[in-house]
Amino acid sequence: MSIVRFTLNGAPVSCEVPADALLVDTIRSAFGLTGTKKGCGTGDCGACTVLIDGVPVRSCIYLTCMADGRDVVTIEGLGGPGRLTAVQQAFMDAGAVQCGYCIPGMIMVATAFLNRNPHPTREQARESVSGNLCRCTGYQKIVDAVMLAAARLGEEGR
Amino acid sequence: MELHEVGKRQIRQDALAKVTGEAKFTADYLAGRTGVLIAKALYSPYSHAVIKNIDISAAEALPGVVRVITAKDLPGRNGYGLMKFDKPVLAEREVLYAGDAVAAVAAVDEETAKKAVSLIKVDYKAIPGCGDMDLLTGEGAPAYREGAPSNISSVYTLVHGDADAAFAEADVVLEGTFATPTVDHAYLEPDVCLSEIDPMTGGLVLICPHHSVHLSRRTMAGVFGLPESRIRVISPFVGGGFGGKEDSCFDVEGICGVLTLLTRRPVFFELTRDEVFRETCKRHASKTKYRLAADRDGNLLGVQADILVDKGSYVGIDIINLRMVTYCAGPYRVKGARAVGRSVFTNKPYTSAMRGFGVPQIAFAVESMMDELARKLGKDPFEIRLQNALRDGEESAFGARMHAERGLGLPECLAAVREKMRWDEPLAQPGEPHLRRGRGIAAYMYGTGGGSRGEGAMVGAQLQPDGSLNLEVSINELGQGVIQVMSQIGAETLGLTSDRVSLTLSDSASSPDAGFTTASRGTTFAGNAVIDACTQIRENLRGVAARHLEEEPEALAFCENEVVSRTDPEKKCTVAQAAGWARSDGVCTAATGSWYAPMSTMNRDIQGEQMHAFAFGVAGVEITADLRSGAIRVDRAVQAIDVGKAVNPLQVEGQMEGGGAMGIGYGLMEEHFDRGGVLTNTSYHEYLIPTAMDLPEFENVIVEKANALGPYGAKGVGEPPLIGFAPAIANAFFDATGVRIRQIPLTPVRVMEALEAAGKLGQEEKKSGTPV
Repeated sequence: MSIVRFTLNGAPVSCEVPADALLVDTIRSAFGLTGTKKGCGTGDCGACTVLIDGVPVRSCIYLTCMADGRDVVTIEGLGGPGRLTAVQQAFMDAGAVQCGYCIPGMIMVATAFLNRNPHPTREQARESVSGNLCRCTGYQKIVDAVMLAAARLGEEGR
Repeated sequence: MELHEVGKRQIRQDALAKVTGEAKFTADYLAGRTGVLIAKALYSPYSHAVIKNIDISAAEALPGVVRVITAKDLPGRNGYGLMKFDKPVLAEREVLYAGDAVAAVAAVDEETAKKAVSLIKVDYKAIPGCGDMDLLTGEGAPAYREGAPSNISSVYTLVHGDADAAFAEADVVLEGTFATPTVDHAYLEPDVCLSEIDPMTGGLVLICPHHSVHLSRRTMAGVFGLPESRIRVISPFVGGGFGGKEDSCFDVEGICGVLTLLTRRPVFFELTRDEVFRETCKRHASKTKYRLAADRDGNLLGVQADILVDKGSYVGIDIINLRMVTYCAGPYRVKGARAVGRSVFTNKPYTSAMRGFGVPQIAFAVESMMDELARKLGKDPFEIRLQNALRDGEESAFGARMHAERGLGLPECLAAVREKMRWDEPLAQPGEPHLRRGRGIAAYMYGTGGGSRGEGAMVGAQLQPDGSLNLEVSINELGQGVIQVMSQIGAETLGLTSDRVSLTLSDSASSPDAGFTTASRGTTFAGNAVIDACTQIRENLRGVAARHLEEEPEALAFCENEVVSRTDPEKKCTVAQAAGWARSDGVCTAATGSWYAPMSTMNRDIQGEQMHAFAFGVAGVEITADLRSGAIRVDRAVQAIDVGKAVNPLQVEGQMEGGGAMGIGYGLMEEHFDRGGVLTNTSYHEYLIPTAMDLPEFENVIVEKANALGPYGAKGVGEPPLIGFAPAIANAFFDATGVRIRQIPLTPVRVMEALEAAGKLGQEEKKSGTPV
């Protein structure tokens, strides 16, 4: 067991975990943040994506101890009802949500992508979510949502 | 009729909880709970074996292990299934696929449970398993199960008119054998269950993703040895189902619930992704010998089909062959048809429902053949489909009468896809010689509902004194959007805005039985039942409001949360006021609604009425085939579907895009491989489903030819979008290369083999290409 200290959704936290604990399990069990989903456990589907120092990471193949000293953001760290981020709002408005299991991971990936590339082409937006699996939507309205968020963020920035 | 809620692109009510991460799926109910035991199961590594002995002593001795069970510990019947109770909770004597559970453990944590499972010693006598249905039919075939007299599970034979006579008068007869693969639903949420004792009844509470909580209760009561009334099944948000969790829920509920009954403690049981692939049900693979007869003008005369479907190891749902023979002539009229569909047990995972339910399999044969017929006769592929399309009053190959008033929109779908694809303009070829472009289409029909006797739905509704409405609908929210659809239908009927309507996620303790969340039936069946319930409440309110407003009841209209007189607009009140008057006047504002489809009249020849209405659709694609790698890229995907009425067009598009994506996956990449029945690709990096980069933008056309028996005209849209894309891709590949591939998926390997066999690999391509 080792003590790991990191920032979780803006607040400093610590937990005592075995060396092989996976970040997805720590987030869900130790901190009760169940928005981060576990779809495969093999790093393939991306449902467990969180941001570590702003970079999307698959938390099901990331050891908790590797997060020591880092800044971890989960879906709960974006916005709740009444204070949604532009990306969350766009996912709602574009009809990008069906079963919703992939959505937290998709939103984390899209958030990091738009931070990096605020004025994407549609093809770039499509590519940005192509590492995450969705079985419901055919990705079209997810791409719509990324583009809608980009447009709204662009307007805000002007 | 002017509609205020139905037909509007509204944002689904569950979207907010899903974008914030607050939506709770089954596994999320574990967070914050203490004292919950973690279950793990031991699955057979063999696709066929006899169990000689199971030694659980080392597992039992491990500290932290609370209970280890084998078949002899079960409190009730060791068998369950949708159509037959043949799948054991824990196999006792024989395992029939590499996924049969033989023992299970409940321990204080996951590590201990895993360790305990590894300590269970099973002495198997392995028997060579067989995953090839061809080898399991005919004389001298090995038995999939010891002592099985035959490997055939079921046979359905459709006889319509005189097929032999139809073929005798034909100018053209085409034939071919078409094969489709075993595929996985690949829903993102793994199968999972959380069970606990209900302290009041002493029975069980099961939280588990479902397609029908009531079905689960009926099926599992005998396994638990409990009366149905003491089993409460709750299905929270479901992380995708596509037909699979209709059965696979039993696989987790059985083990989880039994462990709770034996330990009297809450138990959590979640499959790993590898276990989901190995253990849960699949779509039936199929092989269809298909013959088609037509006259020289392209009029279909007859079809003959000899169909085998791969049943896997247990019965699951065994009417896929029935659906395949039912739709053996697609959406077309024929004089005669004869189709035999047999399901064959193999030592592969059991098979059950998956989106499309047999229709994708037979449509691949029918629509490939229609393309061949069009080419043989030099006819336009849209025209030949239009001239053969079933029309009002005609009888289908399955002996059902077509009704214009229930919507027959195939001609409109054909016209819409033709226009959107710009079919009458030539398709430009890319400059590079190794790239070939082509285009193809496919048409289909798909019946709403199960088509079985007694198909119906019951729902509950209660108007609150503040004018808001609760609906209790046990159609599960799998992602398809039932919550929003029911809200819009309920709101429309009662004159509310849909934001005033709330649904409770399905819970057998509160929602009446609305039937399965399958067969594209939720909107139509539960929607009609919601209309029934809300109409009862509205008519009660009408009487109350008429008295208080001193107006004739018939003069009152319900709209946008108000009750207003059509003749004197001064006479009005809010629905909330009317509900308050009802409360003080002692008038009922709750109702149970129901709807039952016209009774099936299907006979032994598979003739008669099954489903009451049909969605029709056309899929069209443009592809680019790379002759050097065998890779096919779908450049455009166009589809038109007659859904009757789009209750929420935004969600209908979502179904069309998601179903279309699954159809393209079916056509291009999805396929389970096995070695002697043991699946060999059981992860998302080996079993491929489409990513965003594998798909084009879908170009959707919603056609609305109203179903007079549907809610506001709706027919349903969940399954149809998947059906057409695989044959459309194969047809487009022929258009591009002149090579017909009769087996999906059209993977690069299969494409290169087909090009090679057809002598279509040019010298240059042969040198530079590297067939794998």
